[in-house]
Amino acid sequence: MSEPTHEVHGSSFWTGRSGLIMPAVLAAIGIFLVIGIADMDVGSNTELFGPRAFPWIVAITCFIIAALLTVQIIRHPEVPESMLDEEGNLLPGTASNWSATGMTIGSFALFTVILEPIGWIISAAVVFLGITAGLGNRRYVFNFLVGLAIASIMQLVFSGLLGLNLPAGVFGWW
Amino acid sequence: MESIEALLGGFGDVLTFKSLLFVLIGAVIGTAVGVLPGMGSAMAVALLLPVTFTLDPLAALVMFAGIYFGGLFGDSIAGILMNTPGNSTAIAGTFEGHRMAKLGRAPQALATSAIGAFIGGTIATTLVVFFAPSLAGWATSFGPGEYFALALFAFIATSAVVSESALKGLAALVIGLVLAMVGTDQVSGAQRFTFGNLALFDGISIVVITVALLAVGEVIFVASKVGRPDDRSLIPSEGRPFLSRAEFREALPAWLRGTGFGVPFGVIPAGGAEVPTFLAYGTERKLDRRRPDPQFGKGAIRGVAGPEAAGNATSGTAMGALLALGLPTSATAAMLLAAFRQYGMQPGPLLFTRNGELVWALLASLFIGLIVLLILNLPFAPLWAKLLKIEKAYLYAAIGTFACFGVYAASAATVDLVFMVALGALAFAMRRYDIPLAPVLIAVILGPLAEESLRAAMNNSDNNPMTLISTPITITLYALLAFAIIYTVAGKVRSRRQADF
Repeated sequence: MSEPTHEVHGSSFWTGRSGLIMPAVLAAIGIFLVIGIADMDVGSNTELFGPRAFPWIVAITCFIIAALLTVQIIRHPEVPESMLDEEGNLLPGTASNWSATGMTIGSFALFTVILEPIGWIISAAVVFLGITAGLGNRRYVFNFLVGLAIASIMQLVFSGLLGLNLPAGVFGWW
Repeated sequence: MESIEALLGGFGDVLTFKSLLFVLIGAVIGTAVGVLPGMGSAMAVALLLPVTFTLDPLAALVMFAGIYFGGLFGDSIAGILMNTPGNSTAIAGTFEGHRMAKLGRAPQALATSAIGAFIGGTIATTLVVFFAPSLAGWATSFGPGEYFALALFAFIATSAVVSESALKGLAALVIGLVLAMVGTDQVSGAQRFTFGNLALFDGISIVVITVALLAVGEVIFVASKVGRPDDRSLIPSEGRPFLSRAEFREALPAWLRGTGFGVPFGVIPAGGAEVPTFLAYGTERKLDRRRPDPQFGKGAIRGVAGPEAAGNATSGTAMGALLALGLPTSATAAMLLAAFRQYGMQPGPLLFTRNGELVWALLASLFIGLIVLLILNLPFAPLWAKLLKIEKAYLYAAIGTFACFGVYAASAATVDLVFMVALGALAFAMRRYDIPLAPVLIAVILGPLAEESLRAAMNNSDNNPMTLISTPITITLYALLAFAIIYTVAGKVRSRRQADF
């Protein structure tokens, strides 16, 4: 469309085309919808516009957009502005800091796993520590303690005042 | 005059210590998230939704309304002082605002922006008070055909017309529609896309979707940028942020013109305040060129005044469209709609009759909120700018922790946390590849309405598609939509031709 496309030097096929992951996701969603529609038990509903009609419309739209997006990305690779120098040459490295990204996503995933067995306060301190580490702060012990403090304050304020329930975890054992 | 009586009643309800406290909390949070780049009022409401469901509805809604307007007051502070607009709505006002700051007129730029936001918001809210009830009354005659047309209009306008790439906007829209379809079909009771999974029978909670998309995705995105150069220096704002009489007179026409641009855009679902702010900026610039002593490029006060007033005027009338039609026209409005639903209320034509007292109290609180925001922003803008010095790692770690907390507290289900991580990663990928997030939210909120009204319209008319365009209102809406699409396509073709030379 109207985005500026750059002539990029010293690049492979995938430069500016890693965005193909998005049409892939859309196509996967479309397949998920088709499987779900086939699996759907609609009982005696025989209306043309029953529970299956709208999913069909969305599934077909999914495939169309995925196809168009694929064509667009292949014809016009998009390199983020931040990856080009003033003359439009590609800077070395990747556009995303993948270790930091992985660290952050991993922290959220770890929280999901440990919250119920270990309890809110420690899990929250872990996710706090994980995100600060992902964002490049190396004061690990200090950050863990800050996380503990924040988690405790949130527990006191929201469980105490608003009556929300949080798992006690290891603190519930004795 | 009924409106005035009802509004006075609303002031009576809201002028209590508790309500005023929540207005103040909302205004403070709203300004703070507005100031911080990358954070918006939609994210703030999303994070607070799960922890406020034990509050009484008025307190929570009054607070959210404060956040709603506060975001627009705050976002220009970072734009003017650091040239990093807090949100897309602040971009237009940043051009001249940052120039003013560089020339040592930062306090005047901040004041122009705060007063502009106040004027735009106040005029628009006053219009809502007088016209929203009649708009709601008129909308009671809407049938499924009209609702489908409105929803479709909102879908296409927010995804294809406003966003930079129509394809990417539509991709976001489709993702939202899919998220909304998971769960028990409200019409037939059939299980859809749950694959027998009990945890999915109620669908994917709106809290999980919004927190994951707006907060978790943002945290991951910020992490992915670690190590990139990010050298923005803060220009200190020294001196009292008040305008001289001459400056006030200079800015006044631009404030009013900006409001004029903003008001109509709030009612049509065109995805927020970006378009009117740029229209206001463009108009001021054109008018400026005709003057004997053009100011644009040298820090023109009118270049700040117009867009700021337009932005808040849009938000003001958008609130009217939300209350009277149940139609969210921006991501934040979609979040407010979710907040209403959390309390079992459905914004739309019947809200004024069913929950009249609450609506009028909410409208009254908007006026109070605007005054509070003016007070918070006019003298204290440089103080707010200090927020920009908080270390990123702590800020985003706190947001991430709060997101985990909110999602779990809302449902006490680990499966929701799994969805949060997965959708957060998806939102990160969308941010990375410039796919807008607002259409996802609009689709999640309006998807069920679109589907149910389409099915009702078709099933009531023996599947005759002509029923969708059988009334003057639907014909008008589709005509407007067609016009908007043609206008956008023409604009894109023109800009492509220019780029070729």
